[in-house]
Amino acid sequence: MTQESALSTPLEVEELETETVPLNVGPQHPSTHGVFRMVVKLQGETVVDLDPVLGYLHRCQEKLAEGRTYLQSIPYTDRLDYVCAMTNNHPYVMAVEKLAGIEVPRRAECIRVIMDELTRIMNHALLVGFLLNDMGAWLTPVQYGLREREKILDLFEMASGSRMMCNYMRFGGVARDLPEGFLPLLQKVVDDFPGFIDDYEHLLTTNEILRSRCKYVGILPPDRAIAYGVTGPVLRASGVAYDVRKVDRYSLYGELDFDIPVGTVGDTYDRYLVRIYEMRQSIRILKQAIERLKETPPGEIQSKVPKTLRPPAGEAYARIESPKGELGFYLVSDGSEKPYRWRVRAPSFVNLTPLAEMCRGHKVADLIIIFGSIDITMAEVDR
Amino acid sequence: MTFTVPRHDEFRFPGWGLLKGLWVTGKHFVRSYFLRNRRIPGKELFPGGRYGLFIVQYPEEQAPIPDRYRGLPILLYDDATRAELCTACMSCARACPVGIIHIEQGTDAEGKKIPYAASFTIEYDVCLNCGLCMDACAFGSIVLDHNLKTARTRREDFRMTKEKLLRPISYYEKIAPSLWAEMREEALKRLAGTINRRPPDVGRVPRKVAEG
Amino acid sequence: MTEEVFRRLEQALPAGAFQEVQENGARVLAPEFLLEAGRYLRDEEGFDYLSNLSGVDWIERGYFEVVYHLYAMRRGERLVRGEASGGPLGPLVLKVRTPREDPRVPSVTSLWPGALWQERETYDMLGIRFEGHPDLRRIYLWDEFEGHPLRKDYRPEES
Repeated sequence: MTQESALSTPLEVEELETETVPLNVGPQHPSTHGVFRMVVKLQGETVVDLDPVLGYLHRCQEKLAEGRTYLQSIPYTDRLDYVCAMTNNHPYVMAVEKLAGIEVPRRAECIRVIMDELTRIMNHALLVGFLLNDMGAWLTPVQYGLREREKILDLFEMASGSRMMCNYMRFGGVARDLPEGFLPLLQKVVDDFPGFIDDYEHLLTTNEILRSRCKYVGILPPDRAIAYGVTGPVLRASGVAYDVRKVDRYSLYGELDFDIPVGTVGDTYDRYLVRIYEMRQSIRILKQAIERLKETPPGEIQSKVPKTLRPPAGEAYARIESPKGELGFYLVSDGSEKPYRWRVRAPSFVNLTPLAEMCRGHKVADLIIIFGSIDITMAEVDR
Repeated sequence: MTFTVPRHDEFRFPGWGLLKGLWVTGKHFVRSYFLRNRRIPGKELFPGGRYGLFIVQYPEEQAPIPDRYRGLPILLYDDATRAELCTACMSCARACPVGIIHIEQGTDAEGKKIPYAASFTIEYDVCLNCGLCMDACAFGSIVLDHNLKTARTRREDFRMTKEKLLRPISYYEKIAPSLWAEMREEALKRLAGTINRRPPDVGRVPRKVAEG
Repeated sequence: MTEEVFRRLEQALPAGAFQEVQENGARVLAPEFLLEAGRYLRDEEGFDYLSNLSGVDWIERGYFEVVYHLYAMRRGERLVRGEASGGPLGPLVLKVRTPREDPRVPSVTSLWPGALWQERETYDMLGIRFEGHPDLRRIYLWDEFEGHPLRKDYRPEES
């Protein structure tokens, strides 16, 4: 058949069937923030269904911890979500403190709050950068975010000795008191940061491309968000003002004055905005925490804890508001020096559950943005 | 207590957001030529501000390493007496989450234990740099180095024996003055006691090694 | 506060639904009443958020325990907004026991879809079958993997 006759043959449209095309995204893909695989069913370019495949980074941490003492597990919690090691230490030491009935001195609580909030602004600055990376704004926003993160990492390095694997918190306090010269640098970060967020907002918030790519993409309605157990900025972007810092009032948060930003629609744009405003609130918290820290006597950073900790038989569940959502540790003790069960309730893992529901009906390019806006670290998802 | 984030749904002149963004990048671009906001070794970690070049040209220049930096573990010996601080008490080996510290306690001819490590091996390739060994050591013997160049070509090279691990106290005092100042008194007092319990020439670094 | 919730729950359920009251206030339920209790807690008591679902292997006592940590998210939201929460916020700890030989527990995914992956994980790691789960596959390990690593009697193959 010549080309001409092929073109002139009328197509019988009714007899043609459309088929969905399975497409494999990952496990090694620049937009998956780690090793994550999605099997996507496509109708044309529209996502019909999505099946996430996990476990490429599974390191059996829960099993490993059962063979270690309580103290030896702290370095392993750093490696759950390697972007925010400090907030990973916190719920774990809280759970052990609940289990063994250990008091924490006030100065240590101040330091913990400072470290948590620094982690939060660091994580959000980085995430917004990477979200723009996924959108195609290659490297400029993420460079700005990385630059600010660098300053915070320097602070972590001064206090704990390591930039990312901090291993800083201990049962009943923190490992060491803040070093000399820490507070002036922290003050500098606190003073500079609002300007950086303004820069970021000028660069991004009203940008036409960002708005047209993000608005009404990946909507998660509030009732579905609650049903799926989604927490953190993703939940608050959906309009549910639930924050463990306000609800549980752990550590110092009960006496600090800060507001919770809430979204209205629950789309990717709201998730971006909630994070921007959360950074501003974290700066507010930092200022108050520094004030309170200065009132406490230096050196009182850890209460008396036996060298080999043997908590009484029982169980404890402690949770905090980590930058990604509710991070919880469920520990079961049988009275020995090793935990009987060591379970992590990872926010990245649970927040990923409604991914298929959020992506259905969107285009492939939107899939990457929705995935990026949930904010996950695969190390925490797979554990 | 809570507030709703503004979604900027109001009408804007098309392209206004893009221009604003370009203004920000332009500002950063121009100022990076005039402001060298560098981290200078030996001075402040960062001078502050949001503009400038924040890059350190490693390896030609290096950002300062704080005292508490957690590198790989090393062992200390006293400069004057050449005596090792380690008494082979095994606290670090028990504290290590990955169990890479292997110690053998020394004995005399009759099989009686002497407070020194006959052999002390650390597998560097598995080390987590968590610093729990240093926290566990009551003698100030095992501390964390500040060496950044830890690459090796063969796996066997990561098995660090005692000879390769030992450094003089003066070296540690130089790299981490504040940490050594904290443990100095206790460590030296305990060292004096340890030397008394050892035979005269046991648990000392050979003169050749100590003098380079 | 949570004690009152449990008292009301006990009245709503048939007698003998509670097998044990633990020291820390956790309740052990008979598995056949789990869904009924869950529905009551979610719809009547407002515990709409399943935070944590995990399994514990009590090998010496011969059973697995599935632990549910429930919170009241809508009430917590009222608290965050500066209003009175009007009830307990949680955590409400429910437990279900199932024999080690044939571990089966009803799935709560119909009540809290957030359990979808957590139940898959518990199945993967402990081998507890959640009856009624729409898609009970291994989640971290590959499908051909034999054994369940978090069981206390699991011994990895010598490699």
